[in-house]
Amino acid sequence: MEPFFFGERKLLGLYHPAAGLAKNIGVLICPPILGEYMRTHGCLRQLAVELAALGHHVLRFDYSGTGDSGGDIQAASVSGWLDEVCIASGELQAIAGVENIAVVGVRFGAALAASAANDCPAITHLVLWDPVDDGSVYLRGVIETYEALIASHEYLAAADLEDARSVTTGYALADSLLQGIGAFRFPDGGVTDGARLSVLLTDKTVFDSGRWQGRTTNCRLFEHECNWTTFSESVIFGRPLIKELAQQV
Amino acid sequence: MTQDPAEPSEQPILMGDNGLFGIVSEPCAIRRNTGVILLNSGLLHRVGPSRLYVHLSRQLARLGFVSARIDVSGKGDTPRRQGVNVEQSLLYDYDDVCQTLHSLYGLDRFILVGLCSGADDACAVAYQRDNVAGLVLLDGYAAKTIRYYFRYYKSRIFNLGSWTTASRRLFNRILHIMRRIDADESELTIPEVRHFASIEEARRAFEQISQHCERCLCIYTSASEKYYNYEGQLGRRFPTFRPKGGLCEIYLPAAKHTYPLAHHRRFAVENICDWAATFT
Repeated sequence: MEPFFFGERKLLGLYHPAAGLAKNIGVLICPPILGEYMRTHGCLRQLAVELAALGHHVLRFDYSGTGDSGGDIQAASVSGWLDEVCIASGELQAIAGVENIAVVGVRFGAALAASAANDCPAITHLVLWDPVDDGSVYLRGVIETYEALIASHEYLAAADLEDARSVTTGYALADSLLQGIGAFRFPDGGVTDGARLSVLLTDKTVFDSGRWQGRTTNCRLFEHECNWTTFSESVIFGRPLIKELAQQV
Repeated sequence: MTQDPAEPSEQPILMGDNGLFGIVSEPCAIRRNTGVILLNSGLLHRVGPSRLYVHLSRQLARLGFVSARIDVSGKGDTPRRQGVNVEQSLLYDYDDVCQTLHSLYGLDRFILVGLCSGADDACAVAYQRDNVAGLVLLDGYAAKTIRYYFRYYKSRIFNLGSWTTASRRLFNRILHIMRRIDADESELTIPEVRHFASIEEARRAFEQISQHCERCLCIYTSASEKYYNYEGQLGRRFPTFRPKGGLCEIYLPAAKHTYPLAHHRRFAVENICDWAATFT
């Protein structure tokens, strides 16, 4: 693994070079945001290791204001993150010398990847794990989870409670970012026109809703307890899940 | 506290033979001879819960400290070390970071910061290495005292909710025992997430640490409620744990273990920075 910072915003990139004979397609991993980022870190690292062993050049990165990348989340924006997906994809092309990029995106990272694919012709394949379809529904879930979290704090003094409620989420996101996330919609037309789309869903209810089958013929159900919509700090990991994702790539 | 107006710079770095991964935060002007090493906790990587370690290391850099937030071997982005046990691996990791920070910045004294199992790791290192000048233990080790029990039961005895919970626990316990009779014993083995030292082991370790460690800051949240519930409890239980610059204990029962609320994270960062500011 080769770590480095790239771009003006000092994004952390973790490059896993391909082992053996390299395939002519690089894989960019777009992580989820907020608490989901921490919960999937180990899983996405392992996915990168396995994809590299299968001959792919892989790049993981953190959006600005998240993880180890530069900046604060208060200054981050959805449009900035979209640019960063394209910048990271260009970075991978340059380091690995590949033309085409497959993106593995998770949750909001999947939504960003799908949207960025419109402006980034190098992205030819999207593998989306439980993608966020509607930013307003996603944001509502984040806010409800945060409110439940505040309620679960037994000994909060009145001043603390006020302090906790003065922000909409535990990350003290800027209003502009909240609006950006809330206004976000999965870009139907662009993706199906430009890049090949594979969707992996871990929740049977979402799968049965048929929402994703209309967008791609490659929509698979792989049941795994992720608990995206509740406050959870449990790490999401599972070899079969990683194998399934690798297979989709 | 004097703070640098300019932003600190950071660099990702691979250290030692095992490729120990960490991010070094470097102040615009290095004004301290003591470096800070942040050990990742449990299964979380070096970023820390809700970026706690990122904010902390950047704030420390503004105070003139060089810091490294690292993934110990087998966690985050650092591969597991082959052929050594967990304790040895941790010491090799620490030595690799010290050596790197020494060669880059000439540092040879360090403050160790750890949360949960990271706090236990920090103690284990401080027990073995005398270049540990300071310890920050977040929900680290403690042991109960008589006063702990008094406070614990006092808060529960007149609380109806406690009685309901106790009844539910008793019922579940009986149910568990009844099920256990039929179950395969191997299925019942729950792996121990965190090994707590015995009182005697801890006493010995704290005594040893007091010989060289100048100061220690312990912050306990509601997660420690099962073994810690008043400020000063650690010092009372281990009177020989006397770092020469003092043992500082903060009890923050309103906060949760991983500081999910922003103002609790701010509180932790501010208190750690205030405490660290007196190190040269």
